Amino acid sequence: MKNKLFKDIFKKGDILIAVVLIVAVVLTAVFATRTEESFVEIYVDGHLAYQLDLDADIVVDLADTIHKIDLVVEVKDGMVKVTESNCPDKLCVHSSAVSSAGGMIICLPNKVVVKVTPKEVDAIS
Amino acid sequence: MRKKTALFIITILICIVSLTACSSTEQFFVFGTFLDVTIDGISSSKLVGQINNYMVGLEEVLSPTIEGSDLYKINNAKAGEAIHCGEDTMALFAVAETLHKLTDGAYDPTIYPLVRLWNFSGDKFSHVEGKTPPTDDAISNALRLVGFDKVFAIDHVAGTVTKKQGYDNAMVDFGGMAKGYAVDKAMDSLDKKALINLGGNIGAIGKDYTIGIGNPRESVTAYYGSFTLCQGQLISTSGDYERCFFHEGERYHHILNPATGKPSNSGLISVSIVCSDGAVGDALSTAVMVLGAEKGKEVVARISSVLGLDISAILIFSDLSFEVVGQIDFVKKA
Repeated sequence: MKNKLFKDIFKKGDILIAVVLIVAVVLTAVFATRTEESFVEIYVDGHLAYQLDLDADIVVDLADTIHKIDLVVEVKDGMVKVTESNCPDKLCVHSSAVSSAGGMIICLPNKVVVKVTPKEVDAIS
Repeated sequence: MRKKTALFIITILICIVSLTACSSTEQFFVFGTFLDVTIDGISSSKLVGQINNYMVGLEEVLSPTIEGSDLYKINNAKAGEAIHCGEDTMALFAVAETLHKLTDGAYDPTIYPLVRLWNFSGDKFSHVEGKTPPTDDAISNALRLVGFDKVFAIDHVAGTVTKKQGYDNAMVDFGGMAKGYAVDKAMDSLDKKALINLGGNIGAIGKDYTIGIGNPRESVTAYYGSFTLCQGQLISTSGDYERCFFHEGERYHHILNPATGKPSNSGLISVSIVCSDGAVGDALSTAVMVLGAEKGKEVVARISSVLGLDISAILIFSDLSFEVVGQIDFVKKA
């Protein structure tokens, strides 16, 4: 009897819409809170190539995935730095490591940007 | 039934759009630095690309190292040869004339021969070990070519720039102003909420953003403090920590004093200027670095009143203390 009443009020489509809405709300919540963690973003020629967790140690050799760019990024103990690069001046290798406080390491010859934006600020001048 | 199906599809579309099209962030390389553009809203990706194209076009006109640019033509011209320039170049010459006068010569784009002598220009700078400063003789020779009002005749009606007699080797570069100008112009073309960051020259459009000021010492990358950049405003920062090298324990940086031909040594190590005019802010951050705090504050007040601009500044001293000029909510990071 109860089941019949339920079916009278809600049609199949209504339930489907309700499910879709619930999924959308959950996903939105997940995406909205994701920025709370500190991420390392590696851009190559303007495009986001990697997004790494600053708290998980990893070594990324861009040469493995991107032809002609011999540049190694290392995430260790909550800091990220460029450890090797085939660029002539090695400005990127000499740059200080970046922590969750935020900052950027730029390799202009390779067009690589390693970026950590702290959650408190939108950009750094 | 058909109505319901339509409703269902619309709901799904709304969900997808709300999840995927919140904002677009992309990075480009232009003006020898990075361009970071974030625009809120649907179809912002196309706009981001348009801003990059606009900046690339500006660089082709304003870069002294790109063959065929207005500045390349001026720098390679002989004395007496009038060079026709585009609208943007003439606009920058006009701002430069005003600022050169109002900063008592502390902002001078004709310092470019010295920038090259010190190897601080974008095409020459590198962290090569064993770098040494130029000799005093070389500096005083190059200084003879410096003096904005002395070396160039500018005709705004004809749209021409001419080197005066005796200054064949004079050169100009708007490196200390062009990036602020470029961000400012790009902001005019946008009516969405957006943040444009061209190598630390940052403009806020449609909403307020929290901006960090780079830490001049502990690490080049962490930030020193932060403030709210209100919509319509831009910030430009000049510091002795950006393009610099060390020789015998001394720091030599790229902000050269047009009076001495040597890196500024005013007690300030970082100057940020916040105002609604990108070119003025960018040039003024350099000028205040050269002038020091006391003279710098006078000049900021003078330019505020003459140009009718609301200008704020964050000054960081060599002992890492700071001073805020004007109405901004700057807070030092704990």
